[in-house]
Amino acid sequence: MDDYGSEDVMGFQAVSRRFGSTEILKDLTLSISDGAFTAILGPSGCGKSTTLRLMAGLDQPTEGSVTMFGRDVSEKRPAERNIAMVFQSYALYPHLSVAENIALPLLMRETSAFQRLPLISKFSTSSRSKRAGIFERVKAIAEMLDLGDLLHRKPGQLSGGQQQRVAVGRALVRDPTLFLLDEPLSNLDAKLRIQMRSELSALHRRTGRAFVYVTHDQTEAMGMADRILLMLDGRVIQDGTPRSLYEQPQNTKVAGFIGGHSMNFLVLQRGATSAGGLFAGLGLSCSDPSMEMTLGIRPEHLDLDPDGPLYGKVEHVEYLGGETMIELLLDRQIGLETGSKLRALVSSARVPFGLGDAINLGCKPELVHVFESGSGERIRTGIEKAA
Amino acid sequence: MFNLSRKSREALTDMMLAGPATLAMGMLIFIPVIIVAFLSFTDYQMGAKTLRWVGVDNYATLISDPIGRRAIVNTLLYVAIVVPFSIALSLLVAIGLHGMADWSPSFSKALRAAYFLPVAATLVAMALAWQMLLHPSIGLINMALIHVGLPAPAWFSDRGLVMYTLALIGIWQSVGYNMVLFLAGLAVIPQHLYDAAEVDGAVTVWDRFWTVTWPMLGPTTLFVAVITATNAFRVFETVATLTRGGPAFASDTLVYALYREGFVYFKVSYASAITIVFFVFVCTLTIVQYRVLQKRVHYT
Amino acid sequence: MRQGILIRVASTIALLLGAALVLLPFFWMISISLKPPDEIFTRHVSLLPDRIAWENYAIAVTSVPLGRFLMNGVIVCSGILFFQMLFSVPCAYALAQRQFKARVVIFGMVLAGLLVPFHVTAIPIFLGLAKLRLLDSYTALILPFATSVFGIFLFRQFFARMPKSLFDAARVDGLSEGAIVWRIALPLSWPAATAFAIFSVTAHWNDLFWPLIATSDPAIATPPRGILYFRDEEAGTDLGPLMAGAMIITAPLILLFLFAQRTFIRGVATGGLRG
Repeated sequence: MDDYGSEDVMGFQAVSRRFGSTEILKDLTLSISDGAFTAILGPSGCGKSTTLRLMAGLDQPTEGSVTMFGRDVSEKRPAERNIAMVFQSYALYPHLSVAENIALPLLMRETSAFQRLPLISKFSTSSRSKRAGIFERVKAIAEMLDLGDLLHRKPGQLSGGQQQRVAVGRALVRDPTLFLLDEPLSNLDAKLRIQMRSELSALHRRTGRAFVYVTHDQTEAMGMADRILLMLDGRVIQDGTPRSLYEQPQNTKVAGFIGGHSMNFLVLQRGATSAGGLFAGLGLSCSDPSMEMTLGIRPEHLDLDPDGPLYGKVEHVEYLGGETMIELLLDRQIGLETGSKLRALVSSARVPFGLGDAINLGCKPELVHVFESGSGERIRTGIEKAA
Repeated sequence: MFNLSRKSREALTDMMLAGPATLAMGMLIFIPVIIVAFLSFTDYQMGAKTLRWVGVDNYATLISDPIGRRAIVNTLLYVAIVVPFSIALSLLVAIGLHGMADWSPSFSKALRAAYFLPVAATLVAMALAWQMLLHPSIGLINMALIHVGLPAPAWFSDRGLVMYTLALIGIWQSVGYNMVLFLAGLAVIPQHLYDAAEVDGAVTVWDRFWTVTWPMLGPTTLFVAVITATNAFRVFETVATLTRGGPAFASDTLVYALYREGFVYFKVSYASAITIVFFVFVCTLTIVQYRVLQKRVHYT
Repeated sequence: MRQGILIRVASTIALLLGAALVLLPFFWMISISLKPPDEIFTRHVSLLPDRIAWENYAIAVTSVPLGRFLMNGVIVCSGILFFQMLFSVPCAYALAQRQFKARVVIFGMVLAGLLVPFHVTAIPIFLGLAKLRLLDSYTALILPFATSVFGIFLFRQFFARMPKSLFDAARVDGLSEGAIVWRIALPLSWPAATAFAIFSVTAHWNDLFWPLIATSDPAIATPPRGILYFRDEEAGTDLGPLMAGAMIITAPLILLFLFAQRTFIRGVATGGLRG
């Protein structure tokens, strides 16, 4: 794990969270660096939402500690942490207008309970001048988010995209040190989602604050984040830039999760490294021939090559427009288990064959991932790749 | 806030939110129920300094004493009259208004308001109105009966008649309420069931009622029956206003007897026994009501 | 088609007759309240007064403190409603949206409490109030109803259906749990709140049982208790004014019903779940 020092806006130290006997988070240690756009990516049920709730202070860890700028904040409530949160369902107050929705956090922070009493709030001058100041800021935020004309509407009268903007405005207005976003785009239609993606990125650049963005959608995480924490089963299984997650998956789970098309895994038999086998054919060599290995190759990295080391019969063809996905039943060869299958994404222009035809596929050695069969971990040493 | 840990602060919040109501429930419901059950096995009298455990003596008195038995029998008789008549009449009215809503919604709505009016009105005031209506000499009913040459009954002073008179008022008061429940039940019967029944040969109104309406209203009817019965068991206002249990205990009911024994004669222990008997009746019914409710939770 | 029309006509006539019967006591009450004494005590049937005696209403208001009874009704009903909301709404919110150990026990108490009619607890509560020397006071009329298990139940069901994230958002926005109850949860459960208010107010405005037990001072009599004082006094033989008084005490709820029929019916019907 990288060392981010005390510049971390948020950190978890050995955090566990259990609900009854089910352990949602297991000994989680992580850090969120200030100013960065961090995505927490994972399938549903992996514990990413629980992680976000712990960051917000809406929930407390069973064990371990949560820190902000190196200080323990376990005892602090959400409002005392100066964070903002945007919810999947937006969680706007249906009975309040857009302006009141955005103003509420400020009213709560900057006026006393006395000044908020129903009658006092109307007649006390101190309360009125404070309110006027707050509504000036609300107006400015609303203008920035293109909500200027909607200030007096109720959330029920707004479109999904507008509601989303109000939710963002409510988060923005109090100038928080950390933005937490819980699947904020999943209720929008595809077109709006892409638009809001660039708007959120722009917002991140403009505020310069740390964003933590929880999502199950890897294209969102890959496209927006500086850094991704990939979670599975209550653990962070890889932490890095989007590029490193794609290019250097640390194990078969990461490799299988990341990428538009799922990675091919070829389980090799013992002794598969000997000459004449598939392993050597792909341009790889290994210093420890006793190792049991699994090869990972992404469909988009395979290409038609008459001399390629992977060959077999076409079993299935899926036309996807510019590209075509073909499924190959590999022929027997040294090191390969019988019945191994391979999916390859090739340019549609290069598909002159049909079902049952025999073809050869090749792949550059540096694009082949090698994992240990038992643990699924990436093998870093002892593998040589021909340039 | 003081230096309390967050856990303690949260616990304190829970206590501040739920504590007062919980305390009030304990003080106003559960402890009183225990006390009343306890008192029913003693000889406690209002203002007495001591009390003695007497076992089931109070219950024995209630069962063996003709007056006590009277209250139980009268209450059961009242329930037995009010429930079937109220259900039958309110069902008829509901079906009529439901049908009328198809061709004249506003007229149907106005009539619905008329039938519901007794529910909204203050029962004590309406009991006085009934007293005037059934007054032996100046009441409209008796004057009309005499006018056409029929005998004029003494509605409230005839010992054989008085419970039926009270039941009549009870029916009058509950029809509107039950009608509303039946209208809600009728509104959710899908039209295609009637179409299907008609295709299958249920042509007359009568046929369609028995093949579709009645079976579909089954749960509603059960629910209405239980609610009407629980309310009928509590009959008090009309008795207290019109007869005070008389003449000669002919219209004594459980709740009125509990009031009279406990708060007029101050026989607290005996009144407690009556209370417990009343409670057992109501509990049995309410448990049935819960069972029914589980099938109809969406009413609210 | 012929048969259909015939049924329509027959059912309409039957429904009109039924409605006339149901309204008969109201009609007779109004009729007597407007008749001078000589027209009330007459041997022949007269549906409507020949001379309208408005003075019956004046007599009713002056011979007993009817205004006082009505005001007592307002004080008692609003006091009860105030405390019921004050105690029940936060409790319902805690039961629906917070996790704490006693939650199951308290909700169990609510469900058990629904089984207990007020009549059952009357004797011990009376003895307790007597001990505290609180009988014959507004406190005696309000305190026993300070919390409503039905109210807790109704609001809990409503709050439980609200999305959790709404309350999380409020916590992040800096609202205390108390502020969430009154600023978010309650305004959002307006239908439940009006239904409950109507149920509570009608039940306590019309109640005779407890005022009869807990009070003997006419100065704090609620409307139904008051009208019985009226009847039992000498003035009570004056049937015109008595009926006028009965009209006056039942009018507030009838007017409420006529102006807010839908809400009123829903409120009273919802209350029926409590039995």
